[in-house]
Amino acid sequence: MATLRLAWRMQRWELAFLIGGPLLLAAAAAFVAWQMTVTLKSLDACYAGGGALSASCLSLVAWSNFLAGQASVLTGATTVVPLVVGILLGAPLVSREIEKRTTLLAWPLSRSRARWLTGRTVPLLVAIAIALLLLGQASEALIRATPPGNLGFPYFAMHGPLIAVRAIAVFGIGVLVGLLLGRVLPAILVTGLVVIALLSGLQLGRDQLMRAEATWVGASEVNQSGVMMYGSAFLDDASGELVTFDDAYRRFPDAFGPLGSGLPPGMSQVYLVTPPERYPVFVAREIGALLIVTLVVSAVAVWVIGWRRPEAG
Amino acid sequence: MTDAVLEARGLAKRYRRGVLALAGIDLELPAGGITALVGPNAAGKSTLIKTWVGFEKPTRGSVSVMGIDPWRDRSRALAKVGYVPQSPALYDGLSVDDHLDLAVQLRPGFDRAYATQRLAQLDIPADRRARSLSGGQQAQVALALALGTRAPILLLDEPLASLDPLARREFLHVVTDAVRGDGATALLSSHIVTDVEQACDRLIVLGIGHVLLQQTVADALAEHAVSLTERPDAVSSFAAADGSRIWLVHGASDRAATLEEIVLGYLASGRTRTVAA
Repeated sequence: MATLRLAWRMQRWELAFLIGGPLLLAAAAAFVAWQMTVTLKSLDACYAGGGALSASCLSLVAWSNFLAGQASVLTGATTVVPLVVGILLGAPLVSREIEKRTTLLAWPLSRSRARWLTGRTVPLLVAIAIALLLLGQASEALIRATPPGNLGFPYFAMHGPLIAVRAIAVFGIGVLVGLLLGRVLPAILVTGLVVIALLSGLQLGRDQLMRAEATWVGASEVNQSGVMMYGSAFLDDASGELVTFDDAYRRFPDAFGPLGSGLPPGMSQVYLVTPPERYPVFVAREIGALLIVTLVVSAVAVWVIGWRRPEAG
Repeated sequence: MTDAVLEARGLAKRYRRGVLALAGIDLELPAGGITALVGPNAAGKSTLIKTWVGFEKPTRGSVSVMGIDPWRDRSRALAKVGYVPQSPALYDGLSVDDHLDLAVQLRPGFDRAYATQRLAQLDIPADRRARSLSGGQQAQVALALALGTRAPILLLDEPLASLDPLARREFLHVVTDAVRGDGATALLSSHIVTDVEQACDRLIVLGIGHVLLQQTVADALAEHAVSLTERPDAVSSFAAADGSRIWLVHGASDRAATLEEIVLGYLASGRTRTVAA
């Protein structure tokens, strides 16, 4: 308890904003999800009656539109929050101690600097994990409640445990950068750059893997949301040959004319997509990669703190 | 194996920018008593102390704390040491009590009651946040944290530098009291001789990276004198308070030397040595 109390007293404002903020966001997402569910059920009843909508139904439509707007804002914010929380809690954690020279007091008192680092980071890690897991769950509920209501690739990193794992990895990177630089502002800026590079790399890798695993499927399968679409073509129903749009246009220009159906005769449209069943695999892969990053930066941080001078410069 | 609790052997420290802080010094501090580590700014006092705390890695040579190399076995070495940094370096947002709680968390066996009692004797409010304490009170809190470790060695890195005369006296009183009471060994660095004159048993004068004198205060006073005329065997000459030139010599001469004159004489000799080097 004393550890938690001291951690709170050392960083009460940061914790209030950076842990309280995601908790408030989670509460807002849960509220919007609940309201969305209730409103859509009521709207179903409105539309079931047929005919013109009543005034109360029209107000429900307006309310659901408002909720949908809020939902997109909240899910958008959910992608940014783990990065902000991780950077602003991680980067200053040790760099501030070095900058303010409190390490001169704490390190000789503690027989092991690694233990000191553990004592400083673990309470924050636990707080981050709890707050961001709640946010991830609330965001998931919100995405499910908002039409079309399917989780999947279009909502990657906007919900679920990946939110918390991202924040933890960014926090770890921030702690290491802060430990190396020993200055708060440069640590925040450099952590931001490192995190952008890391996430860009992960996205690039993910995209490559998703394209590698993409398959051609019929239009009916694309209607279910949650897939990641990379392109479309036509399938010759007789031969099973894939025909590009350009080839199809050259062979059947009338089909694409003003009176055409847009579909060449004897062909059906197909799409190159990564199927939604692969979504959990990609999330698990990213969680695994981020946990490896966290372990590596933790190990490096323990090594660095062993030889680092307690003062900046 | 020697009886020294703190040792330095051929210790040299060069910083990354090429600054030579210590140029191969040899030192031995026996157990018990208070040793003053005196020298001008940039003499290497802090660097020397920081090598014993395991903050600085020697570029050459070695240091030991009760026979333990603080760089290779830091945890065992730190168990023997209580350290007070140059500026108190307390956590602004934590109260005095919180600092004691923190010390209990960090240091197994930290004697909270002892530290609390020390602070209570000085009427330092336990619930006051560090940022609202005076400089003297902050220094006393830092000292209480070091004393609470009950370590046999206290390393005090210029804790008096930013204190007013009254706070300095109170601080030294607490150090003296604790060291005499516990039988600990204290190394107190300062660039102000008058501060340490009353409290210290031994004296180390550090020039720019060199040990210029290492002796008990009693021996230093007994073995040095001041000559008012030039002496070829003088340690050095320097300006007296009245502007006249005086020479510090070994043995008897015109009058006995004060501790301040001994320190000034050796610092002047160190300057000549540096220039000659």
